[in-house]
Amino acid sequence: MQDEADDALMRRAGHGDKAAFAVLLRRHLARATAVAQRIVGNRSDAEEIVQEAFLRCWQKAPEWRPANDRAADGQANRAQFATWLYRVLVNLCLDRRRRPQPVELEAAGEIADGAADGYDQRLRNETSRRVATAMAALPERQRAALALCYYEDMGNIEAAAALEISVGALESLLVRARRALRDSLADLATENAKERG
Amino acid sequence: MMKLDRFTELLDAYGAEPRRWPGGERSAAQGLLSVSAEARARLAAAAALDALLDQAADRPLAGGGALEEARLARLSARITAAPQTPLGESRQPRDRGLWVKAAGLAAAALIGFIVSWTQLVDMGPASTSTLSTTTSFDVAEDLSW
Repeated sequence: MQDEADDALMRRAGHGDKAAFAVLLRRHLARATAVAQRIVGNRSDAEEIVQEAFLRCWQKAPEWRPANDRAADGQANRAQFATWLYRVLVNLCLDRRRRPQPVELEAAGEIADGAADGYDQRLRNETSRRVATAMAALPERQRAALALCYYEDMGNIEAAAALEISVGALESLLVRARRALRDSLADLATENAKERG
Repeated sequence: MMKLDRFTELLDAYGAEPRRWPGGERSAAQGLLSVSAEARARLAAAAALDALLDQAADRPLAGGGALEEARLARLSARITAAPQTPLGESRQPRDRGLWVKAAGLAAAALIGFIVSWTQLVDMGPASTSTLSTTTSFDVAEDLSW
């Protein structure tokens, strides 16, 4: 069962197969939590949202049909499981409409780097804090686009489907997000470039 | 070959890592990179921003190993304890809502018709003397049998 495709597992879950659902959960939980955390800005809200998204998956599983299954009702182009999951997840995140705390000092402190000495660690934490602040200042949809495409390496077509927008609109969100980040982190980028040079 | 403007848009949207570029444009972008010093300079600038963004990259999930397994098992058990939506049931409220709206509109139209018709009947004889050229009152007159 561990090697089964998402759509097959979802179909089994639709027949009440809890073990199949557990495999789906295990497969997608970490990535879904990371995406949600980047959009809403904090771990506890992200976990709540991810649980809600998976609850909807379980509840709707009996109605699940994969994209290549042109069902008798004639509804074509159904989403693949992952696309559908991330669409639900992103919508839940955007519906939350709760601005994240701009700075998560505790979270920045979580980043572990055993090799770094105290000064380097503080520098890393400071940079991480600045980046987190700049990310938190972005509009939520830009942050969602960045979370999916940049941090989760999702393809542009899949990410656009998750956000329910065109690929062109997705690119526009990404461009605006990166330009805003570049502007607010310009001093750090310059320092980085000098260190590299 | 890709133009520099489009290459810059790619960098602005997806960053400096070719694996994040759209598959259909990746080879054209790499072709431009191999011949254009300006493209390489812009790639380096995008890479500097990427390096910063990577410092906010994945934070390790809490727990791990047995702890994470236990968390997963608890979560899975909690979710699958919820009842599933029987096939077709989730569409009913939406369909029912549509019928209610349609019935409401029909009722409003009917009431509107009755009210206007009644007014026309009431106003008929009195109005026709002053507004004899108005078609609607001509109709009202016809209706006031």
